Amino acid sequence: MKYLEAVRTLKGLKETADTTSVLIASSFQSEAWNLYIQAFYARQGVRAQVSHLPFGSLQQHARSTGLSDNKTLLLLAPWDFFPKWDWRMGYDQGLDSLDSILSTVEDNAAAILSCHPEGLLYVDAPVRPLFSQPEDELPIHAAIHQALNSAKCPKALCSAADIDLYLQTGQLLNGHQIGDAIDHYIRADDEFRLAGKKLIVTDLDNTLWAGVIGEDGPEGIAYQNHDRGYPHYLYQSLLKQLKASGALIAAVSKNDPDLAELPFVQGGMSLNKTDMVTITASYEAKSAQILALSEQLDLPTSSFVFVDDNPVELEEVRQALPDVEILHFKANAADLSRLLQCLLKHFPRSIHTQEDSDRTRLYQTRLKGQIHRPAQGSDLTKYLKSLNMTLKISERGSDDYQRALQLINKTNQFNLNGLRLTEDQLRSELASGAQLWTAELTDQHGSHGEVISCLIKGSRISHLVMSCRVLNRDAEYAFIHAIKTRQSDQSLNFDFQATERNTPMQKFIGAITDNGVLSVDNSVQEKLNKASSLFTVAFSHGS
Amino acid sequence: MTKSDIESILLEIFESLFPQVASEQLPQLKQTDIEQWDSMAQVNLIAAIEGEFDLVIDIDSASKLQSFDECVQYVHGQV
Repeated sequence: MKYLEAVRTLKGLKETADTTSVLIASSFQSEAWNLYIQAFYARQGVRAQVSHLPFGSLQQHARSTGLSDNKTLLLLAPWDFFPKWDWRMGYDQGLDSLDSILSTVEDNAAAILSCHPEGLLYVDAPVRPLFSQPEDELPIHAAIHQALNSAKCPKALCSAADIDLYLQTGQLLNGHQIGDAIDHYIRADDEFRLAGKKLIVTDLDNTLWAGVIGEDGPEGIAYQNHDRGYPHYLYQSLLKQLKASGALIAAVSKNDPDLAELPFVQGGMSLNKTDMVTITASYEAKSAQILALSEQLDLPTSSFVFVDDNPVELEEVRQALPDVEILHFKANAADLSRLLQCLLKHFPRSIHTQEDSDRTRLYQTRLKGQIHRPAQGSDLTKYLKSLNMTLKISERGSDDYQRALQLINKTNQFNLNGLRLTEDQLRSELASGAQLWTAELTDQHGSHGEVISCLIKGSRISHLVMSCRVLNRDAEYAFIHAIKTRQSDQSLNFDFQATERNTPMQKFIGAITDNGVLSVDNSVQEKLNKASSLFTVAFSHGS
Repeated sequence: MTKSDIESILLEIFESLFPQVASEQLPQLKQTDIEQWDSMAQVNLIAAIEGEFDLVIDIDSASKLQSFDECVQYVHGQV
């Protein structure tokens, strides 16, 4: 990659692109790599914020503070495994035995590679002469390559290096060599990601179709080849084609099972139920659903590609199952084109065989009769903090309650009791002293609008709803914490009633209340405090 | 490659490295003009020129490239 090609690639990235933090872990100076690494991520539609280890501190970080908290790209040289090969070190008092050297290599490799790197680039640079016979080095090189081969990530090897430059500036590659090395890495990354993919796990709401089946109902979602359904129609028709050539398709959704299957059953979509290995719907973490699927199908998660529109769900899966390839579904043309292209690369079309046609049915048969085992998802605290979320809580009055009322009357899943309100009833409640609160959620990607609505009179909450678009961010906990604090910590009573559709609310109420009253248990208070710390919470007095 | 081609490419490189400087001022830019042209920016500038023009610039030459014009002259003498 040429320098200006990298500049232009980065310039082409949209303002709204997803961002990610990447640590370049290297023992040599690597700041000149920044632009190329950013361009590499920009090709995937992601804006990378790049950081570096201080010069010469790779070993120290690998052994003390560790590298595993970061998405890490390793740029390695031979002396990262056998430090006496480093040109910047003087000669000392002789050499250890070969066994001892190989043990050092093994030890250093284990420390460095334990960070589960996003990728690694090995610069097979000339090493400082240590042996009278150059062939004596060979077992050490072989041990390094063996260690590198064990890393489960894209691996690129380049042999070009500039030792003069390294001695004078600490950089191991000149600008020309960096561009070539990045080309090697791009090819390695492509090959790694394309290898062995078998199953596409797709989200449903706002991915397979536009809209939320649990809120909008079967008539309110769109997947046809017109209007807002078009991106989803294209996506479905490609999945259908990939399935015909042997790819397996499964759906996971945080939903009620009957709701998730409804659009497949009623017909009209490009994909029908027989195209799917399975449609898994529950309120467990998606990583847990995917892991269960992996065990049931006896397929490694490294053969899975996961597609979802929700960055929080994608991050949850990325953290729990780092070898699952994750792809962000966005309905705009540029991002959709990138997604479709990526799927075509992962599942290249070939000559169809009878086995390809039968594969889905074979796996459907394997799934029958298997028992589902619940499991935990990822701890997303760190990621959620990085979103810089703000919850702006506003009291609504008789002239600005429309969005709050709409939420109450539209929401099914995160709904306290399923009770609807007319305008007259709401006005009457407000006139008799009830307070109507809404919360607007904003994060680094922008505003999600007003997502929570709550009607409270004294300490009694009669209506509480939240848009399911923002589930998994703990906004509901932070909101209740804020309301409780606002009410001078007096007890809160919830008019809760289970409905056929409010499973997420049932779990929430079960977690924070005792018999409908906000629990005073320490673990509940800790959960509320922890959730609150994820947000900047501000009260305002209406719009 | 003509000198004009080289100037045009270098202008784009300088724009990417020194976005705070107005484009029309870049052809006259010297290292002493702006504090952002520090040792790290020099490393990035040399790497950028090497990467774009397929050159290897030795340390002595690299240390003498202290203005836009010197970069143009150097590259013109190499390609």
